[in-house]
Amino acid sequence: MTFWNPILLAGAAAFSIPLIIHLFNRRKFRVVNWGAMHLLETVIRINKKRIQLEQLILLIIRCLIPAILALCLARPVVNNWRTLIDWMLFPLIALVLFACAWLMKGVARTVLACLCGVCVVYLLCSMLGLFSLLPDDITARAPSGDVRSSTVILLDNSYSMDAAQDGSTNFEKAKGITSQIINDLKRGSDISVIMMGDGAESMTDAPSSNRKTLVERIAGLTPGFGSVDTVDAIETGAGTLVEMSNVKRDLILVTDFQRANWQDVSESALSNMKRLANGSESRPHSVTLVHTGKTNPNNIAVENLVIEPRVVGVGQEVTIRADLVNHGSKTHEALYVEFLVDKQHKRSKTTRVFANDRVQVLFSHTFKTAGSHIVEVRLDTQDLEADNSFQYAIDVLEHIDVLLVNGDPSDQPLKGETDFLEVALSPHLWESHLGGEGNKLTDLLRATSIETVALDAEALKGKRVLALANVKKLTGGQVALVKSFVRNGGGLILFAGSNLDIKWYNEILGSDENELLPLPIESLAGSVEKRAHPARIVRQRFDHDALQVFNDEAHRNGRIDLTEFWMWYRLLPPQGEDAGEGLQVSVLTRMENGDPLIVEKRVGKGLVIQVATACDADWSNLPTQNGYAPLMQELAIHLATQINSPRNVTINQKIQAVLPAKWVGQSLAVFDPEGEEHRVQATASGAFAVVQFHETKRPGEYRLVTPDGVTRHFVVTTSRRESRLDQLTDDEIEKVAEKLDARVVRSLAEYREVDAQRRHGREIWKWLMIAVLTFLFAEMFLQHWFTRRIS
Amino acid sequence: MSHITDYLTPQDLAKIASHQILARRVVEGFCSGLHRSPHKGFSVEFKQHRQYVPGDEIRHLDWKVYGKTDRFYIREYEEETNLRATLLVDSSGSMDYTGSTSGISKHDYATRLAACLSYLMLQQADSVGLVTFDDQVRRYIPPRGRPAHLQAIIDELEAVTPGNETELGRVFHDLVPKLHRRGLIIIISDCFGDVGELLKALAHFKHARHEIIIFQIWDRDELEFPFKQWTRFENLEQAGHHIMLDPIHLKTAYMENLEQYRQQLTSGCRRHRIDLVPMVTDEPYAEALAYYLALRRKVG
Repeated sequence: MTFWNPILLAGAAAFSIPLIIHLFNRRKFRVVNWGAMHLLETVIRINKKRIQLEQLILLIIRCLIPAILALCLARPVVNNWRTLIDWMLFPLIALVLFACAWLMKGVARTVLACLCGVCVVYLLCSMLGLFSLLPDDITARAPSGDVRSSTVILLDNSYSMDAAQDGSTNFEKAKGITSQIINDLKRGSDISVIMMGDGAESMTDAPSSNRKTLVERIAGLTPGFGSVDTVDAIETGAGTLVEMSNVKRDLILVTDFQRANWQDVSESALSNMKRLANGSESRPHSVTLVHTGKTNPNNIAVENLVIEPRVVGVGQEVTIRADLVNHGSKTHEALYVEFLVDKQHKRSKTTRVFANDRVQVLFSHTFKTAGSHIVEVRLDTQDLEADNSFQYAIDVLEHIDVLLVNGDPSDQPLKGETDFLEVALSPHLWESHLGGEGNKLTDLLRATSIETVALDAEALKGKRVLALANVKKLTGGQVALVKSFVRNGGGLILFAGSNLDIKWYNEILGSDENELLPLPIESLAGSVEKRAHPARIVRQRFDHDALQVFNDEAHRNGRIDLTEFWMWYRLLPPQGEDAGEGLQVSVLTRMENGDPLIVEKRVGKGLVIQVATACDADWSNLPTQNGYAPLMQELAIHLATQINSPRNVTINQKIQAVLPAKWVGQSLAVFDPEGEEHRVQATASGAFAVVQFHETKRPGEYRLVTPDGVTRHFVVTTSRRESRLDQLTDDEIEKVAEKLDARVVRSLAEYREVDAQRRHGREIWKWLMIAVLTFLFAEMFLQHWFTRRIS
Repeated sequence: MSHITDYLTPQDLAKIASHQILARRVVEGFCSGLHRSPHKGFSVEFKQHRQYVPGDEIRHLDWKVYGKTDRFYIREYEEETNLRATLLVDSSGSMDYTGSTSGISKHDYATRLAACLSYLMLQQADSVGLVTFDDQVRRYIPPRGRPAHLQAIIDELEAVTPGNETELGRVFHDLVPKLHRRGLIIIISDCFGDVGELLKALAHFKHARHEIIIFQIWDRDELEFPFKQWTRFENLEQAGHHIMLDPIHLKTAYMENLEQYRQQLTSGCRRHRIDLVPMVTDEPYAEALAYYLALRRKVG
């Protein structure tokens, strides 16, 4: 006999409560000086034995009620009738005999005491295994069909299950087996179906006993989800099973045993899975692995899309690189690759892909309209459909307006503080100004230069980036304007120069109130006269988005590491109590002497970048480097787009859109890849409305549609690990099953055969509950009966 | 020294004064009273007229009748005797029981009842005596008809304290020779003990031609046995003797036993034509006494 809640057995000690109350009452008596003693003495002489018997019977019943209730709550499971009889019935008989012997006298007492002793001796013999009246094989275990079960079915809905075989997909077969298993369960069984793809998640909020509804929901399931984490799935399934309540407990894993999902499972993980899957000794689980489908590894997939440049403007040429992988052993001589924009065919190519090889296919495209677009590369093959295409959402910008504040204007060409910067940000515009022909490319960035005094709200209107180049200082009103601009999502870039009022920068711009200076300026370093000993940027691989263009070893985007810096401001990293605050400041790059060159700090919803040197050619030769324009453009684009949320996210990552403030409080529609509409509320966030959608369980295209009909595309991607369709061999599956202490079946008939052989213990808590109720009623009845005729 | 008013409240006195004790039988006596005597004489209560014969005392002539009829008639009166009552007050230990609701012990109740009766009867010029007893006679005050005798009785009632066991049969047997003149015996007791012995002793009284009234004093607890929790019953008549029990289990048997005891006593008293009046200490004793006296007069 085992117990599901053995700890509750301790509650059986409550049997002593009535005993203690009885003894306590005897101790806590009342004293009465009584005259009519002759009436009492007669009564006692006649009724003493009867009263003792009645009290003993009541006491035994009262002690048994909490003891049996505790036993009931501990949920005993009987596997063998002998255990039940030896451990429960005989002790009870011995107890009753002892009580009766205590009451009796003479021969009756001796006989009853002897019988009680026989029971005790028998109990001891049975405990020591010396003797038992009953044979061992009187099993109480019931066949599977006779008992209710708690069943957790882990259903693999990754997109590899969509592989077709024999006119049907593996997933359809898995659904059929799952539905039949559910239908075969005894009425009243608890069932939980857990979908394994992209993080195990139950199909229903709680285990259900409504088989019909479950089967209907399973019929409506589709695969197409991402890779399976087998360990996580088993853990979730076992955790769910632990919470369920029936004796028969089944954990059924329906999967295609894709090698990619199992090959990385370590021995320790398998051991852990075995421990979890098989439950505890008192609550064992039957683990069954249902293998659906056969190995057919021929599959070719689009593994990834890479878009360059990172931020796309109208009229800019965009390069789309598709990585194709052939997982099969067959060479595709002329694989048709199609490029689509907004579902419209744009271009196609044919390429050869060797067996177990990968190729890259390049497409280029120029967007003619701004807004949200979706590009897609699709293969024309007959294998797994889910990985034959890859989508990517792009926000195409009209242009980014940048306001340059020139702190040191000049009439001479390229002598003004912002002259180089203006050219670097809008090179095509300047090229056309200078009479260039044949260049129809447009600039994404549109720079406007003004003097310091002209910086006002009107000048800032519509601008997404503000650059202060060698600006001595601003008025109070201008500071407030800039502060509001940054906190509402604008980008500010500060360039150094000889005109800077360092004290004003440190005390006003960098004050706790404004927080517009990432790091305080300590002192001027270097000297224009010492050009022979310039400082350089540390050679490194850049992690920051804005500088990653310089990670190209071929230096196709120019280089900045050769730049000579003659003068710069030494920026003071926060120390002491302010060190924690310094964590908000990140250093994009340093100079060889360790001084920060470019630092960044988030302020409100915006961003401030501080450059320790000038943006013209006075303090360095940076403007003459071929990396100057990409650097400035990337910094500006980074500042302008940092408020934008990513359009391409992975499974279970929220999608978020920053919208005009007019949509605050409005309910917007989000359509998932299956076309189902979800409603989300736009909330206020600074000067914008923000929409968030968290239910990105299924990979594919999501569309956010605002009330004015504008659509924003998002793409949720998942790992392409599922594209490798080769499965474990039968021997490997058997080994896994052995390690998990599980049975492997390959069809419904096999499962039924295996399940029919299983036996399960019987719960007796209902009988115990009936016993408790019976004793309760008996106690009430006897109490009334013994004290009957009490007026 | 106690005064009668300590025992009798004005309300009590008012109630009792509205009744008169009437003996059911004619008892010999020489004092005038309300009790019928077989001897005709010239007492207080007019009986009949008869014609004057020589030798009759002239003071007994009815001059009003002579005035009307011009003949001499003698007024004959029924001679009244006094009631010679003896109060037997039980002072055994069982009478010391004070119930949970009454607030007065059975003994206190008995002594007050005895005081009431004494007062009432002395007011009627009857003779009242007192016997206090437990397992033997403690004190015997012979019956007297003087009003001052009341104080002696009351003093004795106040002085007596309950204790010792009850031996009603033996005590009553011992008393019979002392009460040589027949009269009214008023027993105020709980009558606990052997019923057979008690009835024999009462029969002994009856044999001596005494009229007997028993006021059986009960406490409500003794009649209803209201105890619920475990209780140790200490014997009031025997120090150190006690019984420990859970009363709820014994109540039924106790009530049966009580009923049997009462029926035995009642039927025995009826057989000997003895009035048995159960009185409970939480009931106003004066009301109970008045009720009984009214009943007694009706019977008489």
